[in-house]
Amino acid sequence: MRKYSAYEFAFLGGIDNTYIFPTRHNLTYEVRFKPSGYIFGNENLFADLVFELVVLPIKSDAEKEKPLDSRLPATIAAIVRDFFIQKEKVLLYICENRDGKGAIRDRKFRRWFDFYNMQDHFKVDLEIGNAQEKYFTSLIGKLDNPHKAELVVAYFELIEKHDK
Amino acid sequence: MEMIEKQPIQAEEKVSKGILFCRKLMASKRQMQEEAERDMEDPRIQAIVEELREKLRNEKI
Repeated sequence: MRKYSAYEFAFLGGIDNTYIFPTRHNLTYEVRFKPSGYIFGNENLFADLVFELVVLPIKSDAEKEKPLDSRLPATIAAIVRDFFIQKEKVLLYICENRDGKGAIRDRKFRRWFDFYNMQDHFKVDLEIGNAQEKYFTSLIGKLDNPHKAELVVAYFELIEKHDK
Repeated sequence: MEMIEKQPIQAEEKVSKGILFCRKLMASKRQMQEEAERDMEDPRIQAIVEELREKLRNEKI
């Protein structure tokens, strides 16, 4: 399988650590890393280390047909690497499933990560819900994260204890 | 990459708590989608994107 080069991207910064890039198909994407302390509870030891990873086609582009773009996964992988300079950080990812295509998106996302040499990372996948309402979530971090075990436990506990 | 296999949450109580957690994440995602749309109305961001587009057009194929 051939590896493709990433699109050039820009870091916009802001609260959500936003990156932006256009593609050769005239689409524009934002990739955001939103601090998730509000979910863990800001008093949680790891609240400052957990970020939601979100890939957003700009809404006006969301309705456009998106041709297969081999450079897209390379670009997202490059952005994730750029953001992951601090090894203590972990990412939460959730796949949209309103249209019932969450499983397809989840498989695609996993292929991207497997293919783009993220061997120095760990990923914990959790399928949550039932036939009527199902979500595909992942927790991603660096293998040398000194808090890895505690973060994984906190992730499971978060889902078990989340009742608000 | 180290992988941990998917572990479906079975217990009814855990399902509902897990779903609430996911709904919160999805609501956050949709809010960010709206913010991304507004970003594109910002002339500074439009200029950054246009500069990136220009570089893309000039890329050697």
